[in-house]
Amino acid sequence: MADIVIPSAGAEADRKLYARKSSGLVRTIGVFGAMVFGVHCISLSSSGLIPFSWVAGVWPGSSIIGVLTVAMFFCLFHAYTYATIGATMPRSAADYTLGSRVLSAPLAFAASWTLVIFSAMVAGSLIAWIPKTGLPVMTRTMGIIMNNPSMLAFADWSVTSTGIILIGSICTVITFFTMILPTRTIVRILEVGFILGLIAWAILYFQLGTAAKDAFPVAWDKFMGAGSYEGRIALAKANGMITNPNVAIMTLAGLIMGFWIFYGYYIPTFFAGEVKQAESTLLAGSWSSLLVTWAIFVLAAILLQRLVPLEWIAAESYLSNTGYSGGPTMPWITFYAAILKPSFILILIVAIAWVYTLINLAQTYFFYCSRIIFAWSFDRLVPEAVCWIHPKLHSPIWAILIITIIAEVGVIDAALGSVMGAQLNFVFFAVWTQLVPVLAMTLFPFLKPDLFENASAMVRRKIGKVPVITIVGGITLTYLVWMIIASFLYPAVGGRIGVSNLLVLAGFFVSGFIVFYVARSVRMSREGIDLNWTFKSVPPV
Amino acid sequence: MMTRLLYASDFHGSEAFFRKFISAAFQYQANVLIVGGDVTGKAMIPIVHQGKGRFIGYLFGRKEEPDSPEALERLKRTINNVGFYPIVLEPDEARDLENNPDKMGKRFEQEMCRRVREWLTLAEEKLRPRKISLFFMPGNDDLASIDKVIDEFEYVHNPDGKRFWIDDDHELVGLSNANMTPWRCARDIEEDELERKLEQIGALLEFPTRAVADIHVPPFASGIDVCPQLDKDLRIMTEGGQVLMKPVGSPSVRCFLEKYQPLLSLHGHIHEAAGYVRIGRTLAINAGSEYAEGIMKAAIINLEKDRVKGHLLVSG
Repeated sequence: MADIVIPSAGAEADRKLYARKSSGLVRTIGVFGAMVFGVHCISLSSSGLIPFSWVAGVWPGSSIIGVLTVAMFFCLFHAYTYATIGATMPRSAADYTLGSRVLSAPLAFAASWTLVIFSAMVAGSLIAWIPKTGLPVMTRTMGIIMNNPSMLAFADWSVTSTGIILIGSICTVITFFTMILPTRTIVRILEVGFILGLIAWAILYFQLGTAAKDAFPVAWDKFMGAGSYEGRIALAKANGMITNPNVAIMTLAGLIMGFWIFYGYYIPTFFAGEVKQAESTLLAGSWSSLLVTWAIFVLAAILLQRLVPLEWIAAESYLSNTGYSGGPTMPWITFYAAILKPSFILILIVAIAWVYTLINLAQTYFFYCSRIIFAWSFDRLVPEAVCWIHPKLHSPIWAILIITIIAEVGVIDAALGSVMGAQLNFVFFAVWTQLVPVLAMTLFPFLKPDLFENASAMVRRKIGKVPVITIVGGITLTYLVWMIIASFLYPAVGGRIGVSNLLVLAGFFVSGFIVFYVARSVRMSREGIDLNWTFKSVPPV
Repeated sequence: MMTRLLYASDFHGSEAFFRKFISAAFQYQANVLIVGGDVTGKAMIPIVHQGKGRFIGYLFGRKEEPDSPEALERLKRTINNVGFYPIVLEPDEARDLENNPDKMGKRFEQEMCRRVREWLTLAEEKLRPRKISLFFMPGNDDLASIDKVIDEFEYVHNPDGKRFWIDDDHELVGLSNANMTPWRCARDIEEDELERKLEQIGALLEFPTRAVADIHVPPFASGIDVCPQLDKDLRIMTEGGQVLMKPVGSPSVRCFLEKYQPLLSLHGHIHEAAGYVRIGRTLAINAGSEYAEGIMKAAIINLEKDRVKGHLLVSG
């Protein structure tokens, strides 16, 4: 006789199911857990600088809060689509898995292949951000505030090709060694980073929030030279800045900047296999991580704009972005905060947190790339040795080593400013690879009606007779296509997309197709196994 | 001479999964079908009559209100496909069941046995004409009464604790038990007892190095036994937003594989740990399970006399 564990007592609320004693009944990762990982992937450090150092100067006059809000709003649709992808195929690399089963296996693999290679390169370029931006911003801040020429000299050296390659390579090696540690240790490292990131923002809030309303001009002039504050806007205008507070421009900026600021919130979809009740957890996790980071950045913007007018922030950002050579530019929120409460200890904590969380960001990229490689291995598209697990460390060291080598290429590419421009072009490349899974999800109800009917309630949700995911997927697709177009229309935002970039992108896709067909041919001839079987639907008898 | 096996496990009552599994035998031209256990569902869904042909039931917490015979059938079909058992009740019958755990337990057992019987009837009808063998083993979640249902079918074999020849060269032995789980399921046993039972099936083998072992629980620390770590309230533990994973397979199973080195060992039990691994010369496979999504996860294995020629994990 079955041993009943949840006998309902008659109340209607309980009369939902009669469950028996069996394994795996109630298991779920909390929304908080998914949110924490999403915030990591967005990055409190690098993304936190962008609205003030970049957005403000590219669209002078546009409300930073407005841009953040529009960007976050459109990312909600994208997040919904990716959460649904995870709910539909709750396993590692859900995007590749869905695309390969719904649209085309070779195409989905080629897109996934491109995503992994490019993500590993982006991880390298993010690591390169440490010597290119993270360290110099902090050391320059310390140098200016502490009047320490060595710090300033280090900041200058750090951004040279030699500095970027040397420091970047050291950080890449550190990332490799941390990634081959047992998962539990990696998780601890990430957890420390999350706490450090929050502490850093708390320090910035403290510095910005406790300053007197009129403190900023005095503080700025003290460290950047008398009269510097007053002349900043005029200087920027003299160098071509045109202020335009038009709401349409602000909306346009938000539409373009969504991925640049918030990219990463959807990454837990790549681990959908480890998330129970993926349909609710992934959506809540990605949406809450978006909202939390949006709130963190917006609060910083409110506190900063209490002290400095928007036009001034835009001017400093503009001068920095356009390479003004008449003097130093410091459009960094961390610097603005530091000059208000000059404290070596506080600046040091923020600096450590910034560098540490940038390595954390690269770690999340390493993490999801290794998960996707596992999914390929599962489908036998790559040799088994690639996913060999070290018996003591329990980590796939060969897979991580491959990602590390590609990341090092990203570091060198960032240092030399060569053909890839991984960091500058990452949105363009990422969007191309996302078109396949998003199209697959949008068409899923029509191409795989049997799976759609058996999918979780979230996936099956409809408005009238139209599946919600088809509507949201359509909006997401439009958004993705828009970002491709915007990469050409607004080259100042992304890298300038030239023929070489397009050839590299095409090369990645083509190499993915080649790997797929070679793997299929080898398995067929040696093992009598057709890899296409794994992607086919099986109709019930 | 090559034999093609199709293996799946942890159906947990999912009608869609089982029907796809049978269909897959034809699609992939398998000679032998092996089921690795946990065939029965975890819950019954009461669909309570509200009068005038209107019913109310809850599926995954969502209220469903069929108000026509067609809608009721549709709901029942959906419930069947995700692995639960729909039971249509009058309100007083529902109250009676809820107030009487023994009665509910018996009803549950009836439903489980009925579905397995229906499945095996279908399997026999479809597979016998094509001479495709079916080895159907229960798992740690399945009650003892399931064995009796399997025994009703002459064409279907239950390898639990027994040995069969699946072709001229390969023997098959099976074990449905698992090491103790936090849920203390029907066939959970202590590790030492599991070791003893494994020794018993090992002793049945004439040619261990050409054998296939259908052992529900995977070997310990093999990568195909990893699942989320649970706290005392059976909630998943996380750190830094990551699920904490740990190996929960059986050390005895690992010792058995290391000692006998069968050609192939087939496992289930840990749904999220689908994959394959080599333990010495033994290829160990966990096909995984996504029964609740109605997705079939299975493994295709090409067996030659002394080697596994090829294998592939499929889902559809």
